[in-house]
Amino acid sequence: MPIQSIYITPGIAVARLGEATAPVCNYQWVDVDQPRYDGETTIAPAWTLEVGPDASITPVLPDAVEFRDGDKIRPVAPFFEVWARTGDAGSPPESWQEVPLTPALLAADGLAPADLTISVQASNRKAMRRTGNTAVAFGTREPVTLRDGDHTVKTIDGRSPAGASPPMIPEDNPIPLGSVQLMRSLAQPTDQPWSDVVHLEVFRFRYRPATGLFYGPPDAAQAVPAQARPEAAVRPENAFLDPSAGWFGIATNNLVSPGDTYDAVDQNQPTGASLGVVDDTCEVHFEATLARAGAGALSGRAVAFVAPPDFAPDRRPFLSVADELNDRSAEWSARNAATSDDELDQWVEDFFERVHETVSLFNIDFYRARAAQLPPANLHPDDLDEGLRPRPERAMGGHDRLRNALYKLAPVSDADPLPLSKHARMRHRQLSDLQNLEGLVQLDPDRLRAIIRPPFESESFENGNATSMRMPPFMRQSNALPLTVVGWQHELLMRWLDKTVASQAAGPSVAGLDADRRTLSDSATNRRHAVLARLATEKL
Amino acid sequence: MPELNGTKLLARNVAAVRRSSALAVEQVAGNPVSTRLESGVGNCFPGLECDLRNLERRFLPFLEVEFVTLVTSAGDREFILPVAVDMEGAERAFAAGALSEQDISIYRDIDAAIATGGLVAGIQLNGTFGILGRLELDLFEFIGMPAAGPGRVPPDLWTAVRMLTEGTPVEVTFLLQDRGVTLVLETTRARYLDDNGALSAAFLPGELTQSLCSPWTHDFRDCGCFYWASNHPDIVQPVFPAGTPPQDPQPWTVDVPWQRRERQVSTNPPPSATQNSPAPIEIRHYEINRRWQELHFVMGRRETTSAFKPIEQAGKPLPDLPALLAHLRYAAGVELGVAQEYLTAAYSLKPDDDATMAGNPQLRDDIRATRSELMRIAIGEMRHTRAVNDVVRALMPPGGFQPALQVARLLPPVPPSLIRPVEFRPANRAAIEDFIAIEAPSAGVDGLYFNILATLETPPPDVRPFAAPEWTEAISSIIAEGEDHFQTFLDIREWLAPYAESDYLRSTAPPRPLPGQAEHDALQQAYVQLLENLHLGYARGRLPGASPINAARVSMIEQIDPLAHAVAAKGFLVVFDELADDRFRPIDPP
Repeated sequence: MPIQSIYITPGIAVARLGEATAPVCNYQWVDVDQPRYDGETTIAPAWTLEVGPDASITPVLPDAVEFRDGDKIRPVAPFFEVWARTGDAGSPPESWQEVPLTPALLAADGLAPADLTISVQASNRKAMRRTGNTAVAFGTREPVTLRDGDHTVKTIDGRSPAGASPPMIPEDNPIPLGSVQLMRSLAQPTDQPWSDVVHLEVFRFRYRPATGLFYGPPDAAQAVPAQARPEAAVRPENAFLDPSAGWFGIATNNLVSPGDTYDAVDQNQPTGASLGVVDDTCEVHFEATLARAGAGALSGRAVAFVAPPDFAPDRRPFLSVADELNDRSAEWSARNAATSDDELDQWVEDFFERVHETVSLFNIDFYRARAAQLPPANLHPDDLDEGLRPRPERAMGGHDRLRNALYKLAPVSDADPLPLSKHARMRHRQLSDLQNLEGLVQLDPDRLRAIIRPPFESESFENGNATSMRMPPFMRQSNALPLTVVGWQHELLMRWLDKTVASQAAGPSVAGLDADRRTLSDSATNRRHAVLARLATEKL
Repeated sequence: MPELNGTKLLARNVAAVRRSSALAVEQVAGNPVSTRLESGVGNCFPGLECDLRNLERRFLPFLEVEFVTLVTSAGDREFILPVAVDMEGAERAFAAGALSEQDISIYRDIDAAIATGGLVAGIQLNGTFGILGRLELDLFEFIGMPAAGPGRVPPDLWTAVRMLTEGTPVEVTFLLQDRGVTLVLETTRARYLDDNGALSAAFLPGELTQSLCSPWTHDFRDCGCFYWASNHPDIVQPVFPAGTPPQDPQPWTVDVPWQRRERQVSTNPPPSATQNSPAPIEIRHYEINRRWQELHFVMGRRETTSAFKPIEQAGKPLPDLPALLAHLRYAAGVELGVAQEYLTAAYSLKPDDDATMAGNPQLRDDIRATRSELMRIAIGEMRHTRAVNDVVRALMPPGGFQPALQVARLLPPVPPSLIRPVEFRPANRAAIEDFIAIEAPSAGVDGLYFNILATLETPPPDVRPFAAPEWTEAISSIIAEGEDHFQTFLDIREWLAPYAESDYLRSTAPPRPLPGQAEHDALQQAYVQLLENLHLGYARGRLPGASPINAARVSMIEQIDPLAHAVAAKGFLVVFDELADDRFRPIDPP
């Protein structure tokens, strides 16, 4: 069937800096495959594409994930594939098939591999954004072009804009912003263990980020302790930027918030004059274009963000870039509505696992410095911690009405310097098990609604530096106000809560005292009955 | 909900980047999960992967705007300032009939005003603000209050725009100051991604990352987990140096600042993180530009300097008989060690007649059941010790057997890579969690036995003559019982969940008795006698040793139990002292 459109997948990817020669292999998040660790996330190697000298691809399955080679971190270098949608002329787009774009598919359409070009543009606009001066942006002046038949590694040079006078980056010394390479299309075997997950024929390219270097004017290669610059900001060999180009020594505008987000001449004045340092991160835009004689060209786009390494690769954010993008999509209500109850259970458990994973690396004892002074209405008359912890009238203190009365907290001690962090890890590990979460609802059906902050809500006594203990406490959203889950997440959480409360209200009561406030699993119920029965027998 | 190829990516969490396509959630061959948007931290200020706030700068089609605070007679207020107009796109849309004459004239007027340096400000924003519904915000009045409770509004202008529902009608009233006129642009909230999941072509290369720190390391120095714990930890357990001798308590479980300046791996762990700011001991501004690759990757909360290998699901055969024997002797010690922990926990529970439980029979029964099960499991571990000794005996040449009764100093690591000493604690929640961990099938104790089992099933040459099915079955039986222990601790956790620890424990922090404490000393004597009986019985063999082993069992019930109760009744923790006798002194992992 004829090609109707093309696209690049992934549409957006993250590349991560590293100076080692070999990139990180493919790895994925998986459950630790053991009963106790149900819900504990780890990583596992997956089919990795090794690139040969001739740009051919060989899938391999590593037995380990190497994050560094010696003292150098391995970069994360994403692959991109070009795909097509095929369908009969005039057919509705919903009926089109998504298939890898291959030489054979092109040939079937009377096209050749040479008709496909991929143009690559990269840019770092950080200095420009802070100065309003387009001359201190840098990147590709002309797109780097990939076309079948040329599979060499093409470097991406970061240059000052044409006409910039003086150019911040000397003409003969561009800043490397990584490289890009079009892979060789190979015949697809059908008998390999990876045949179902790796397609060798598809047009595929790879972006490899830069190594993580820093550049600046000569002054940036100097340590000036009196200006709180204990070390040089850049290596001497990278101190070649022109200080008169408009970034060094410049007072920045107020369009970037927060304003102290660059290396300053004097770190004692972090929003003062810039030291003129830039890094080799960038944002790369790819455009695949398929020229068709007698018909309009087809095109598809993709983007790579160059970022630091993910230093905790088995921990997942509970509010990811994907979650944020989903919340900006009009389709989230429909996606939520299409989520079945079973899927909802699975999603909620996964969400709380992600919360636990984030909490597990978080020094809450330190961040309790961000606890708001609570108004009287938010205070309980009794100090749950019996005077043992400081600032009981601040959030998460002994008088905080939001505290769970079942858990007293220990004070800081030499033996237990981070009691709050330890408690949070324990508690969130428990709650990442759906059964325990249901137990919490059984004990207090209103608890989750009270403790989870609705999207973008901020109480009158809160600000970016002081919050209540509503979850997630003491964290900030993208504009420095109290962090919240996003709309679609909150809706799913509340739907699950309503479902669970209704289910528990309709369920049979549990034998024993206080039955209406307690749900035990079948296993726990049966074992308890059996043990107590045995003890009763032993007494007779 | 589909998970992708067995990975922990739920379809609902995957960015809806490619519309009308089931393939949107699939993985791209060769790409690690750290390339995905699900690995990036969403809250940014300014961010690590990108600053998503830049999306809102293009919330109106064909316009690029800033959100700027201006001084008004009522005070500081935020307004929407257009800074560029995509006139080419707007004219194209007009030509295609997608824009009305009125709309295009507004774009042309704004473009002209910007070109002449005139101030253009959006002063009224009407639209559908997601879960807040339709609002009309007069930006001269709007101060983001109240931002909580009924009738709330977005807390600031950026958040307001962030909440606008994609594709819904938006009206913005622009004031063209130079002309003194207002124009009302009626449009829809723009889409930020195209149909294929890439950024809309409206965004220029570098636009989503333009507000990230320059250099990015500046942010690593300034910001911590109140933004991005999942990629940039606050606190971690330090690199565990290979060959570090075991210590009690294990100091390497300490939480230390991840970005600390002092990074040398030494024989002592770095100082613990505290509730104080770590900034003074962290890598400094500028310094971090040179040293960022020294930061450790963190797996399972622990820093690592080596490659990460997934946990083996099955055991690996040990290389030879000496290795197998070393593992078996250690396994016996582990059984003794966990048995001691369980006994300590059992005696930490309130007795049945504790006055604080009056009127609460459910609590009383939960405690009784917990105590009973802890005791049952502890005795089960003692049985395992005997079974292991039987296997050791079978593998030894005649006359070469010495009973394995040394208590393990450290328990086998449980994922993710946690190793800990035998620790005497009351049955608090943390202890129960650790009991669950150590009894988890395929982990902890069982992980140790898997290797032993694999060696017996696939014996190296020097084991082959001794590898009878009887011993394979014995080890298999121990592994199988571990499942019961594991599930029992899960159930105990449920039983105790509704209570505060002080509800069911005699004391949440009972002191450890010192030598000289009468009840404790008596307990230690009985404990040594128990070990002596076991040693004698194991040394004699299964049948000839039955009598002393039986004596040990009796002493467990008739002597150890009342003495332990007596120690607990005095308010102390029931503990078992380390013994210097070579037969019983602590054993380290092989």
